[in-house]
Amino acid sequence: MRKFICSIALCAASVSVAHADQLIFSADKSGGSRVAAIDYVSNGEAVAFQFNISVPGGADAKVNLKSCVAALPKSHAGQCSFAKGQIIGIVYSDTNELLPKGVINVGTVSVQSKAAGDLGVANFVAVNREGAPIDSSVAGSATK
Amino acid sequence: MNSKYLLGTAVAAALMFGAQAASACAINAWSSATGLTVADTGEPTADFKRYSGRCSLRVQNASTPRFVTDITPNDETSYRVRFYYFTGNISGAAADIFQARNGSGTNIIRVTHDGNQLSFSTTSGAAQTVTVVDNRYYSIELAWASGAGTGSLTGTVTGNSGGAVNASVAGTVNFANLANASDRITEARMGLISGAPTVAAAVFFDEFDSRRTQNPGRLCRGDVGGGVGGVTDGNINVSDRVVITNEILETAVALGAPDVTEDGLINVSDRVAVTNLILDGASCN
Repeated sequence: MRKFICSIALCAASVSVAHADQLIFSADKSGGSRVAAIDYVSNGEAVAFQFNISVPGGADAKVNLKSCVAALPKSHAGQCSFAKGQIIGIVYSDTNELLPKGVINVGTVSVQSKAAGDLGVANFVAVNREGAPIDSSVAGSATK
Repeated sequence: MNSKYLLGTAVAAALMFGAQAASACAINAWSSATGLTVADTGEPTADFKRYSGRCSLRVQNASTPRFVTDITPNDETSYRVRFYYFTGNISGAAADIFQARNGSGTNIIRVTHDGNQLSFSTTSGAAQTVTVVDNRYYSIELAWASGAGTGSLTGTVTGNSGGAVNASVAGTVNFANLANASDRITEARMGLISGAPTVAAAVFFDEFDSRRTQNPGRLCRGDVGGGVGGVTDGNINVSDRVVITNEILETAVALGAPDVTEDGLINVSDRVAVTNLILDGASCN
């Protein structure tokens, strides 16, 4: 899956670095297990971003967030939670440093759920130093 | 603080102590000021503890009456009001911090603070109290109506929430079945109106909003950005964390309500608290 993610991310980087920032979300499913890799393509304007991932089965699912934001650059930190049936992730800098330009690995999340459906990005926002949203989008896939 | 005008189908006042955005703080949105001038309003960069927006009203001496007055109400039979009160450190005597009066100057609603508790009273029934602590912001929400045995005054004091995901209710008051059909409200006063406590640490007032029929409600704690141009958007998300960080770093004064912990200070505690709100998926409270 990592190779697949990187191919998406690099493609997105080459196409989009001069344009909108992107959250690259790549989900894989096998039985009741789901794994998603999260990467971010930065244009160098954002200082922070947030993503909400909808989880099949909602609050009844079991999630592993140990690696949710484990791959971030040193300039930034992050936290993830599982609340109200969603994985909520935030990435930030306590001095509001810009995210470096290019492709940034964020982390992975895994979910165990008997419910049907795929992981999906329910909400994504990237913000600049003033806290205002910047042009951004979500790209990715969900394999079944 | 920036609100003073009665809103709604009649009484509607969001009376502020400053204009929006970068404008200077002001007091002239109020009908009058007694013992106070524009110099008693200010921004956090001048050590004014505001709850929302850029400005608040500071009262640091109770030796003489110091209050603002709103004469927008017009013989109201229903009155809803919300304001934010920073308790400071007062002792020695109770001070009236809010009065809603009739045309003869009789208090229809009265709120006092003695340094330990807020006391609420109306034209009948024993006063009811809510305990508060020093140097914290609380919202005071009141809903009053006149009636022949159906009159009422209810109130909720919420604040000093710290890092809690849900704002902390300090207490409520409830005066029911009041025989107050002849009562009317024509004037509201806010400040250290009467009484002469020792003021060891100033009290502050912010975000007064009064209406005839609808409860103003609390402001969205922690919502300081996310909208175009830096305005609040009614959501709690990572943009609010960024804006609070900017105020901590003294890059910019946040609009909206950055004092998530409601202690009058904007610091790393508020950033932790807003992070808690985000990670809980909390809605405005």
